[in-house]
Amino acid sequence: MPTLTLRRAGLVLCSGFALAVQPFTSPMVSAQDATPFDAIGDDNARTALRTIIADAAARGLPTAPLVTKVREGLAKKATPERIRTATSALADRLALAASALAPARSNDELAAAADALQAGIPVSTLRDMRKLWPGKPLTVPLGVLAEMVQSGVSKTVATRRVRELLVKGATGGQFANLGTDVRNDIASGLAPDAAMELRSKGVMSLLNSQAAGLSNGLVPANVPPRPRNK
Amino acid sequence: MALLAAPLVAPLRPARAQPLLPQGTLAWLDAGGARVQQPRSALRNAGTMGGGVWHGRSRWSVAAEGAITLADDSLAAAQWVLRTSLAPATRLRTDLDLVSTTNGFAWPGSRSGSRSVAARQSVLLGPVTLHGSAGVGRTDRYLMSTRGHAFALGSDVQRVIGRSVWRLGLSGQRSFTDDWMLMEASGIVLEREVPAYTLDDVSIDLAWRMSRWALSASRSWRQGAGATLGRTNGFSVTASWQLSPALLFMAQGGEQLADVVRGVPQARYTGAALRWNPLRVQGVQRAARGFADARSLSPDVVPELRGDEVVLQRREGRGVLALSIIAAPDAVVEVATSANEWTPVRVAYGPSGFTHVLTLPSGTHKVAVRINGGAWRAPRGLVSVDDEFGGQAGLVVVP
Repeated sequence: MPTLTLRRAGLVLCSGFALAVQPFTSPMVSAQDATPFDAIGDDNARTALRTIIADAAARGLPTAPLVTKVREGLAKKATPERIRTATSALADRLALAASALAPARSNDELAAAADALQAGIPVSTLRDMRKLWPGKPLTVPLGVLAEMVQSGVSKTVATRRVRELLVKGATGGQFANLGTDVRNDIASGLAPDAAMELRSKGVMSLLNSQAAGLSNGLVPANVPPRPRNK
Repeated sequence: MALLAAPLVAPLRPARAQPLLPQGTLAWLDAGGARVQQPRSALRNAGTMGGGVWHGRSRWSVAAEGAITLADDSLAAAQWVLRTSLAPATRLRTDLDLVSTTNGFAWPGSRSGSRSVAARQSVLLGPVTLHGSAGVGRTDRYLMSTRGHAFALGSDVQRVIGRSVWRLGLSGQRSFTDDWMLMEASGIVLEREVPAYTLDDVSIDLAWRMSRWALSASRSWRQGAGATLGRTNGFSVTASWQLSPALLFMAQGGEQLADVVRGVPQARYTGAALRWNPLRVQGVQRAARGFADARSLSPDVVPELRGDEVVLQRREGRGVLALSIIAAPDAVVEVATSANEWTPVRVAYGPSGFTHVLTLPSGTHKVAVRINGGAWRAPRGLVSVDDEFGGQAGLVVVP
């Protein structure tokens, strides 16, 4: 169970040496260190990153997303300072997410919540979602919420609609379905908020001028026309 | 298009030779498989199992049947049907169907599925049967309730030619529904806001039966009426072979139009099944066309997402992202994802260009591509998010 492992690592770290001096004494952190950190040439940045990750482990946060962030920075040839800044920001978001989603939280859920925070979703929304779904993972609803906001749907509309679906007990597949439909509608030219309202309410589609030509011929079954606003 | 309240039991002899209902008890068990392609969904393989019991007396009959369909992506559908037939006079027959379809292994009345009732009145005039039918149904899908109803009129002509029995049927149907998901997937749209889609259907079907063999084919045309625009059509071919008195092999294929009463989407399908009749009645058999309807599988699979450079197929626990990066043949194309710890993978150039397929588990993932060592960017078609390193990444959510 990752959570137990992390807690154990956290205990080891808290009760051990000063984190900034020897944070890699934890077997888990050492294992994570092996690949990404050696590739960072800047000693200060490397030490800072180890500290960020060890500190996260000590707080019971998942370190895997942080290590992944470091790897992403390395793969994208980012400067050590930029990697440090991005990893630190992610650690802060994970901490906020962990606080908001407590007591139940999985690593995937926290990572999705951190993405939602990056998209501008407030912490209070995460708390509200946890209250609505105390025992079920919010990974997909949070992911779809972030996806909608990044697609241009206003935070207010996206949050309200996702919240309504949570109340009604939508499945992960239904959330993902909603996200796909909204994005297809946006790609077809519908305003993001209108697409979200339409799809989440399940109201009937309205036809645009482009679709009017469809009556003259067959429409391929696998390429349905999409509603548009004018 | 399946006609409303189609007769459950197909007499083996012409209707005029057997005006009243057959008598006895008939039981059947079906097992088979099908490949189903619903619009906006991945091609699915499905296994079906079903069975039923029919009991007939001189002037009435009652039947109950059920079928369960399990697809290779773990989606399941169950269908339960209660049917009654009354033959109050030689030339009259009334059929009433109560149908409940559920998504998942759930009993009728569960939240996701459909409930419908349909009635059909037939008048037997020698070799000609005239029939009128009506049905109404409610479908709950994606937390949304939709309703549909339909009226149909038609006639069948049955003739014995040599050792063969031929039947020709023609029918027309007008149906109404507010199920926009079903309609959009069929390419049917509205030109203005109205309470319901209105559809006009015409169907023709031809059936032939001789000895142990039976063949039937049908063709259906659908057109929107009033504010409803769009056309589509369907067809089906069914063959059956009586292997032994108790064993029947059936094969079906075609494209069925969306059933607005039962909330079943338009779908292409091919399937085959074996039917075992532990109890048989002389002169009647369960209509071959009625074997378990794999089309009623839940459309809960997330619709495909298609973009300029991506095709994303998702279902619970698994996502498949097919990338097709547009670049010159001599370009160096790389893909990296959070799912593989951002290890860049060089994409090979093939007959279809630069293509790469990623299988992603449940969760949120980020994907980025770059060409010739340039900036990392989101594949076109995915939501783009800031990667905090000066580039972008595409966001993928797998339920």
